[in-house]
Amino acid sequence: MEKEKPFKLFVPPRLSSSQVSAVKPQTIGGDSNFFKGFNKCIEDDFGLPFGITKPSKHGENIDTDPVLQKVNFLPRIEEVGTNHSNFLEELKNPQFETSEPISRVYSKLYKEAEKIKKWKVNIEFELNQNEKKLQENRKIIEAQRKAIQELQFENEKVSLKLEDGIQENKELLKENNATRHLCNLLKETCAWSAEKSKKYEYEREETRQLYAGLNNNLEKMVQAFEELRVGAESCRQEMHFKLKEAYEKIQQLEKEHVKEVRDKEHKVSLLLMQIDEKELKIKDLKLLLQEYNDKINQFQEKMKWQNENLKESKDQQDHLMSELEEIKMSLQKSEISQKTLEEELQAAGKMIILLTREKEAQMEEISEAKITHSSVVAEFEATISTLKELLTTEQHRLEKNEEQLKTLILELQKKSSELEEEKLCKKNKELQLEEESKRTLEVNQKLLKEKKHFEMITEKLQATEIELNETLQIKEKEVHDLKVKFNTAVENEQNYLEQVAELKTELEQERLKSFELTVNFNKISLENKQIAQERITTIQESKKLQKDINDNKKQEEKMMKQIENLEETKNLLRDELDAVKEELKQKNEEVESKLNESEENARSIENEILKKDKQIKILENKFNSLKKQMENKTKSFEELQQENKALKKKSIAENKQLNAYEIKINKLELELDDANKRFEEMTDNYQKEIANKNILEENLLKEVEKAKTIADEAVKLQKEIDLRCQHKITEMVALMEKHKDQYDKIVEERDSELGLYKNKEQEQSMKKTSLEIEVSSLKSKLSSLETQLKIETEEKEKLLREAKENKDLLKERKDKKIQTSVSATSETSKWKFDSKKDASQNASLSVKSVDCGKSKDKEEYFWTPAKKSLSISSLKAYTVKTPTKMKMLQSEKRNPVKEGTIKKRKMLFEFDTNSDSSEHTDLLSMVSDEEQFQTLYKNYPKPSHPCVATPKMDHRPSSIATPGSALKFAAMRKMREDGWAAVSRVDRKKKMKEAEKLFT
Amino acid sequence: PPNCLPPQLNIQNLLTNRWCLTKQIPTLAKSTFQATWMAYDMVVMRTNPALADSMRRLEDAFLNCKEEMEKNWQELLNETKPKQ
Repeated sequence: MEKEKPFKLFVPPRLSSSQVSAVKPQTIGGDSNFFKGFNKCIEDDFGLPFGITKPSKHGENIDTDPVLQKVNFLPRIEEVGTNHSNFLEELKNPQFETSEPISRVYSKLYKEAEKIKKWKVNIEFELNQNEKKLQENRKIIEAQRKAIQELQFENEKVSLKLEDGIQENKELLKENNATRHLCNLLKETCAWSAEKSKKYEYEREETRQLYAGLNNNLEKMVQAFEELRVGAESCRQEMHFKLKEAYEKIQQLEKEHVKEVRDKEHKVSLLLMQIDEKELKIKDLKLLLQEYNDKINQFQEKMKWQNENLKESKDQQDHLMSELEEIKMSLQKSEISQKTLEEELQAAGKMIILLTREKEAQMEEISEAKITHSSVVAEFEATISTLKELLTTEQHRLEKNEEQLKTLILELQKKSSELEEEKLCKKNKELQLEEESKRTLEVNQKLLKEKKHFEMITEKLQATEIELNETLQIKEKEVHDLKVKFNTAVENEQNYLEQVAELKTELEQERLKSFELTVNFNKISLENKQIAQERITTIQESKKLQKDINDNKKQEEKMMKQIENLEETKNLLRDELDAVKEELKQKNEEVESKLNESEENARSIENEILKKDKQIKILENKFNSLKKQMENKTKSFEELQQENKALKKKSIAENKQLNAYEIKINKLELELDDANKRFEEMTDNYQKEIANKNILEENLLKEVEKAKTIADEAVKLQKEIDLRCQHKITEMVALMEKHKDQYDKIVEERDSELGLYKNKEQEQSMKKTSLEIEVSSLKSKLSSLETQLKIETEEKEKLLREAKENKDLLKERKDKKIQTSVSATSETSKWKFDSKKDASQNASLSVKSVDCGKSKDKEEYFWTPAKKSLSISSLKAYTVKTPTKMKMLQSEKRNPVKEGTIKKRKMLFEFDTNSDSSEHTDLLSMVSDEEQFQTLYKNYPKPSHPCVATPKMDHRPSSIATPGSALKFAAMRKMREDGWAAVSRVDRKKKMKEAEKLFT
Repeated sequence: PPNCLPPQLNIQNLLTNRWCLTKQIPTLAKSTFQATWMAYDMVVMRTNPALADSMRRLEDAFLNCKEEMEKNWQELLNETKPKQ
């Protein structure tokens, strides 16, 4: 739409350029007016001599068609101008040069008139031709005006479209802004979505990890559960096995228990049997007990007796035992004493022997020592003397020792007393003696050792010999004493031995006694043992018996208890028996009474029986009769049975038939049931199908509704599309019309080109027919003359008026006439040509030269307007040429354009497609349909459009074809647009209304 | 001629808009792709049969375990009792 603007705005000037004849009056309006006035003046001038018909026609021509005449008239006018000038000169000359004869003037005038007449005839013919041309041109102009109006309308349409386009542009701008806003929003949303997507990705990863964790946990849980299950199963199985085992154990235990119970029961039964047996035994034992009791009593008596005996024997035994013990004690004592004594004896004997031997050895040694000592004494006598002193000292000691001896003797005496005492207590003293003897032996040994020591000492110390001698003496004394003692001891020993012998005898006696006693004791002990054994046996027996007795007692007690119980029961039974007896007695009484009664009854019954026997007899008779009847009836019954059998057979057959029928009926019923089922199934199926079909119907109805809605929408869309199509059709029609107009334009252009060629040919023909040009020049001269004539007539009229006016003035001022005329002429000339030079020339010419300078003046005069005309023509040419140039340019451009019109149309289509990108397919599709639409809408838009569309298509190819020249045209366009804008703005509203009225 | 806004601005606007749009198309495409990918991932994750299977397995295991646990004592008694 935007691109169409310049074209459409550029249209009107192009129209002017294209239509040369139409544009001229606008551009050269001033000239036309000038010439109008000029012509009018001329006509006025001509009106007087030649009549009023011509100028009227001329005036009409001028009024009606000032534009068309220009092209053809201009040269003529120029010629007329020239002629006129000449004629004016001629006219002026006779006015001013009255000297020349009027006849010549008249003849000239006549000739001129004849020429004018001829010229007039020619002119009239030309005028008629021109009028015809004018009419044609008028028609063309009207058509063009209409075309212009239509173009304006189209322009307005286009402007409307433009406004729509602007609005669309605005909308597009808004859309743009909206899109920009959307872009920003999109950016924000993109950023937002990116952030969100990042967040979501993070969350997704988290969720994924969580899912993985969950899966792991679940698997772990599953495993744990399975493990639990397995554990539970294992536990259960274990428990099951344990339970089974326990149950088996229990069963075994139960069995065992049962067995035990049975065994126990058996045992119990056995025990019961045993009890029975034992009871029997107890009974036997009781008997035995009684016997044993008797025996026990006997035994007890015996026991008592034996006990007494025993007690006696025991006392005896005790006595004996005491005696024995005493004896044993004495024996033991005696034995011990004997043994001790024997030992003492043996020891003493041994000791004595040993002592004797030792003493003998000692004696021998002493004797030898005496010998040695005697020898030594001799030797020592010397020393004795020396030792006598020592003796004296030692005599003191001896005295002391004597005192000690005395003390010792006392002690001995005491000891002897003690010995005596010890004699009483033999053993101790003997032991003491033995010990003393031992001690003495030991002392002897010690003494021997001491002796040895002493000998050693004597050998070493002779001084001690005396002491030793003394001691020897003492010891000899002591030995004597000891011998005495020994003798006494021996005596004692002998006494003791005697005593021992006595004791031995006593012992032997006692032993014998003890033997006897032991024999007696043994006997008694044996007896005792026997008795004890017997006793033990008896005691055991008695114990057993006691146990038995105890058991028996217990049993007895039990039995007693049982017996008591039994007695109680017996008592109870006795009571019961008593009661029963009483009852029996009562019953006996009753029975007796009843017996009596029954006897009575029997009697009565016997009577009745007798009666009934009679009745029986009667009944037997009846029975016999009935038997007969029965036989009859049995016969009839047999017959009936036979009949029944037959009937039964029949009934069986019928039953069979019935069964068959029933089977058939059952089959039929089954079939019926099946049929019913099938029917029901079929009905169900049909119902289901019906329901399904109903659903399908509903669905289909919904679909139909949807389809209806879709159809409605489609209809709406169709309508909209139709509207759009109509719009597009109109647009396309317009486009087609434009194309047609293009073609028409091209045709017209070709026609115009042809016209140009024709013009060229005409020009050539004009060149060829120079004579014709001369004729035309003459004609122009004639026209100029006519104009001059008109002017002259006007001048004449003016002059006449002036003359009439100035007659009085002329009368008053005759000298000033010429001057006034001159001034008038000068003024007229000035008014005529707008050039002072011409006026001055005219004035100078009019003043200086009248006849001689005619040709020159004519030439000059002719030249001056020729110049003018040239200038004007140049102007005209410019004005004319601009469109021609444009035309030429266009033509020049169109020659290639015509060659490449098809391409440019394609370009046009492409442009259109580019302009409406959304609908280009439709447009292209519509292009094919254009012909159809043309056929359809032939009558409707065609007649109006060819004229309308012509200007449009002129410029498109040019504008499109010449992109370089577009800038030049753009300037032109702007200028023209401004002009047109001014026009259109002023008249838009009115035209809008008109256009609305027209096009709506 | 009607009041026409300068076409250059329109063209510039158009160009800028088109540039913006062309610039944002890939971002949009990326975002849409990411969104679809996310949706696909989410769908895949949500419709992951492994979880449902694991859950079913867990349920089965739990039920088996429960049955076993309930069996343990009742059915033991039931198994032992009828024999008597």
